[in-house]
Amino acid sequence: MNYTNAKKTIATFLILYAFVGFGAHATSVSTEDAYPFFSWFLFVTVPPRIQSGFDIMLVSVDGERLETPVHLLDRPDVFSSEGVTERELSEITQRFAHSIRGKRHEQISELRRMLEVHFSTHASYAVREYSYDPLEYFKNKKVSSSIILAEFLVGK
Amino acid sequence: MNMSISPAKIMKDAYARLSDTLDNFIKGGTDFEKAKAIVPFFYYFLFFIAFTHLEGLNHTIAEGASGFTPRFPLFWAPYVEYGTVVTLVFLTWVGTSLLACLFPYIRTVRIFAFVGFLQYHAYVASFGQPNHQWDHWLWISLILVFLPGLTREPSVETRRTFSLVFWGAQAFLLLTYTMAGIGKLTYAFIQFSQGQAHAFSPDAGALYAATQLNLMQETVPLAGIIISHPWLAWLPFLILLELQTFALVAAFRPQLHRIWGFGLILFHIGTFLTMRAVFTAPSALLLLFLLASPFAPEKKKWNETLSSIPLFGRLFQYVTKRIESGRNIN
Repeated sequence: MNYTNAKKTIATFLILYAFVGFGAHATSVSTEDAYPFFSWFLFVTVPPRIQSGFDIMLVSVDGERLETPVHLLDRPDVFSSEGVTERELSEITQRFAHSIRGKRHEQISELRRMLEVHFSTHASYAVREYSYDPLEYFKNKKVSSSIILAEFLVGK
Repeated sequence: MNMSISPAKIMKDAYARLSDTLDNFIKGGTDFEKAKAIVPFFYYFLFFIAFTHLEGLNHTIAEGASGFTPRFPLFWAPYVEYGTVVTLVFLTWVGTSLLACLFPYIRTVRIFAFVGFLQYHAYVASFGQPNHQWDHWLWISLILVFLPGLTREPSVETRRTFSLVFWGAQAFLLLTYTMAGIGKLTYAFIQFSQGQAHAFSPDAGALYAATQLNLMQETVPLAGIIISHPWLAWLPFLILLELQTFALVAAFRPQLHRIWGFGLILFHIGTFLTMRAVFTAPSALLLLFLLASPFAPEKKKWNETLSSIPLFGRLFQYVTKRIESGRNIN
């Protein structure tokens, strides 16, 4: 390949790469995949100033209501995390919350079964949606507001 | 009189101008000698990375094949036991990159090195979304396949073509950053129009850091200060937008190669220290292809360098001209 043709080839390749990469993003933002091409649209959206999340809080143990609900993982004497990683628990929590909001009762039952097998005693728990400023949450885990989506008694 | 200019003519004129720009610094002289000296180091790095990954071979096999959906370069994987697939992928990568360390100027060997790395790249990408930090290595190992063969005394044409292909690798590397910059600018305008926080917001950097670290439930050394004082990240973030968006422009301005390479390395260090974004793999390429650019002028003329920075270069030129004319009057 001579110098002049090499220039044309490189130009064509760069344009083609950009075209395919951008095209992959334009046609499927969430599952963009045109392996091995890529749009390089990484971290393109600035996260919002108010964000929301879900968690599961322990509300009562052996019939006694807790003064302040606590995260399941903060009570290993009640909830055993053996066999479930934090990431898996987080995924279960997300699915649980969305199932409650979508009133998908079968999925709710299935997720309850997956979760309640880890309880070692009689307890009740709540699925909570909370809003927070990510900067404040990072500094001191401060939550702006929260609502209980649903409360469940283990085994019932 | 026909006043219309066709898109084809615009593109042709643009290509001609850029081509002339390349001809100004791709001479086949010392640029060729330097490019030729740098190429083996690409394969030295590639081998080093392959060998360090080999340490994790047993662990990778033990993790099992859950979620393994072979990408097209691993078309042979379904016919082989999983542990053997992993072993072959890792060993092929090590073997082919080592061969390229020994014979970097032989095209067939460079092809093997590309294929060897492609197997590894495809393997990693076969568990859902690819890990893009290795993409540059993949494509540059393909580009380098097209380096011309060298005789004992290569012609000027061959030397220029060698330098040009090397430049092609630089241009590809910088293109990816420009694409990232275009993405950020595009969504900045979308988010701005929707009244959301956007890339030009003073707290953009802090929001990225806090969100990412909250998700990962981790912290990194600079996170606390950035999140407590979001304005500290504002100027660095704007500089980052400049670095990314105009990266491809820098490819055509050799006096900017080193400053862009340094800036992009700082960008990767910065994103790790503020939001634990791990993107270390391109750093070696930024060193090899930009910081050590064969086209960067030996003697730095800071005036020329600063004047050629996209957007701000013009401002710098204006300010220096005003200062000079003020001196002349005095």
